[in-house]
Amino acid sequence: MERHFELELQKLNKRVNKMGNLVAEQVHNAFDALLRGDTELARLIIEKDRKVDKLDNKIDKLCQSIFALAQPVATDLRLIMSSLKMNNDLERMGDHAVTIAQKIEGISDYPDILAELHMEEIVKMTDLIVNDVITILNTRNTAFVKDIFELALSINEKTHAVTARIIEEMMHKSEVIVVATNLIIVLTAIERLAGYSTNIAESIVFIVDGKIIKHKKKNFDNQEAAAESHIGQGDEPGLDQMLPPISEATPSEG
Amino acid sequence: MKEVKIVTKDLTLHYGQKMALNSINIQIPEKEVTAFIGPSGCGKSTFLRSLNRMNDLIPSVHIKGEILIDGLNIYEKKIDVVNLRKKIGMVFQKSNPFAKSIFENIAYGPRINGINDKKKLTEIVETSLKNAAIWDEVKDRLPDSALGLSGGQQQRLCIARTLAVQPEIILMDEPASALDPISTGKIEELIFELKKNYTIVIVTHNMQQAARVSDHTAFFYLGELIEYGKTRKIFTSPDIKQTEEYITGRFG
Amino acid sequence: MRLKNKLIGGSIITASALSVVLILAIIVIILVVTIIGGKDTLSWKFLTSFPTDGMMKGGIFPAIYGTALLVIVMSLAAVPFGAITAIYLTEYAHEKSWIAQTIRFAVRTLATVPSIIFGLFGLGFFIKYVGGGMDHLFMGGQLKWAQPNLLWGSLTMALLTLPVVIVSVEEAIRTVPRELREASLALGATKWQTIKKVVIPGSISGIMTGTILAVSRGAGEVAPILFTGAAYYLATLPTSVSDQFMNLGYHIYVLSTQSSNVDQTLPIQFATTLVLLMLTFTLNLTAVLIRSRLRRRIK
Repeated sequence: MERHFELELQKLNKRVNKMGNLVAEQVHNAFDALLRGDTELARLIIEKDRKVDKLDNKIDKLCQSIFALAQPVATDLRLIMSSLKMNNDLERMGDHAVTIAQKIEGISDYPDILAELHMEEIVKMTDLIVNDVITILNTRNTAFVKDIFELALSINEKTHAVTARIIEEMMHKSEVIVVATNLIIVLTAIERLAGYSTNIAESIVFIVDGKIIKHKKKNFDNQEAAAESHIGQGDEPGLDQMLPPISEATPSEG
Repeated sequence: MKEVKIVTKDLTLHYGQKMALNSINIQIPEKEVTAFIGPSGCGKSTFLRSLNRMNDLIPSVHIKGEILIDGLNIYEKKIDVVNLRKKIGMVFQKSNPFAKSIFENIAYGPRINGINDKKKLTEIVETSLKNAAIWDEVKDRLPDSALGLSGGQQQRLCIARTLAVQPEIILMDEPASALDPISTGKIEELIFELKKNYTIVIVTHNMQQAARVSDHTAFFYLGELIEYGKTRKIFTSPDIKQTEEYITGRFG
Repeated sequence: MRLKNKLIGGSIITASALSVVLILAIIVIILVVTIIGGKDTLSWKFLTSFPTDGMMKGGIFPAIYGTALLVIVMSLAAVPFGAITAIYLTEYAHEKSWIAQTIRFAVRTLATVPSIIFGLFGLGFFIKYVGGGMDHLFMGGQLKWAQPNLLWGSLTMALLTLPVVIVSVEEAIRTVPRELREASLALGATKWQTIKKVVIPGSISGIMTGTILAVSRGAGEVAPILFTGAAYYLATLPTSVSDQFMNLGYHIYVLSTQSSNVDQTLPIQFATTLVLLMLTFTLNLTAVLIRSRLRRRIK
């Protein structure tokens, strides 16, 4: 039986995919601007966030009306619930892209600092993870979800290591405090981008397979359980995560 | 909103001394689905049945106010009720095919309109059954009795029978209340298809159904039109507390 | 208390069982007696030949033929008239209008009138008044219509059976669901189109039941035709509605009371009774079957 309700679901999928692509573009541009110190591009990103917010509202409204009018169950229910969550995650990712863009000016006085801290690699990895997760979102192919979790774990470790180094630098040289703080904020944003990427991957697994893996990734795959201990929470990181002691930068759970 | 098809002005209806509808003012748009919801006895069915003057059959009914269809007051003296009902089809709660063949059920309307040419009738029957999404199920058994069909099929047959008269408006009085969920789903899909060509007004006890199929929803309570608006709006954030209480099931 | 209830219940059941047995016994006795008495006489020849020897011998063909003609003419009069009345009562008249109530009262009263009164009415109204008037107008005072004949007998019988027809047809029409009428009207049919194409086809078996019950009643009644058309003995079959006719019921009456030798005609009496019984039983059974089929359809 064909359902006219199917059209609404298609519309929703299309919008969430559009949101994903838009956010991936924002993140990519933010990283591009960050690496090149391009403040003009940064300004464009901040401006374009309005588009993200608009789309976010549209998706929220669509989900609300589908919930109210169509009483979705099973696959449909999972799809709409997850779309709502993914939409939220994507919107936050958009905000983090803006955060990064906003800090570019504050870092541009020290053009070599990113290279010095080996941050290009982290940036590239994060660009990749975001790109990959959006591909998964568009294709609904959960085969590569495992790679996302691994990549996130690796990004997490690396950001914590760099953060530790920056804190150490700050202790010795008070004149770097401003740029260092900006860098830490950027790193936190990067870590959050990776975290939200795993959230979205989890949501897609939930849509496709109906499994909730966010608090039991052990069952999904042992390796991801480690990543989960740091980045699986989904919301804003706590203070301890923002500035973690070095000893905790390496995962202990297995 | 599209063109307005039906307008009522201060429509008040009494059954003997008892007031059943109190000063209803509503504008029903063309080629969209408008749902009437509300608890039993709220007047929604009575209102529906005054739109094709079915209430004329009940001697104790008195009507005041106006119902304008395409700008014409249907309760005016010069209006021919029989012609009016050809323009306004009706589908009932209980599927009510005649004890005739499937073919003759559909051909009934055209025949009373004087169409007797076999070829023309065959054509009308086929188109109507196709438009009611039941052609594939019955095309090989047109001479069989319509009473042999399942409940859901019978109801779609009744919709096809209505379509055969080429109405502009289709009134549906709880068309799926006696059907199983699958048949109900089919009827709902059909309604969605039909609204491309017809103005549809549906009375339903099933709020979810109203939510699923309609573009506009009117909430009736105790003979009054409490709230009327876009279905999306009514079901996400109604303006009036009574509506909210009714659709959320908190009705006291 | 419970014992008392039990006793009451028990006695009610016993009483009903007894009456059922009694009724059955009566039917059985009637059947057995008539079958035993009539079986030797009953033959194809008996059914198809004329009475002979002053009705002491021979068959009963004229009586069967006359009875058949009677019920046919009677049905032609009673069924359309009764059906139209029933349609008026159910479809057009308001339940509480004085005219409908008057008709209903008249129909009920008509059903309780003793059949001999119908006979007298037929004699007074049809033969003397209508027939006499017709002779005066068309025959120049010559006697043709102002005497008992098939037409007057049938019309009198039609009056008697009219309530049966009206009530059966009314009941049948009421079983046509309101939804079907509404469906038809909603499709833009007029009231008359609805009646013609939905109500009457939907109640056709009820109309048939009514007709058969009327025929069955008419075939068995004697009193209404005593004065209005039945003949003691006819050497020829009736050829027009202005002829008199023989009748099964009347024939039995004649044989058992008027015959010069009642004992000798006993076998003929039994055989004639058997024929009449079988005729009415068959008709009633058919009516019952049609009616039960109709009731099943409603469920």
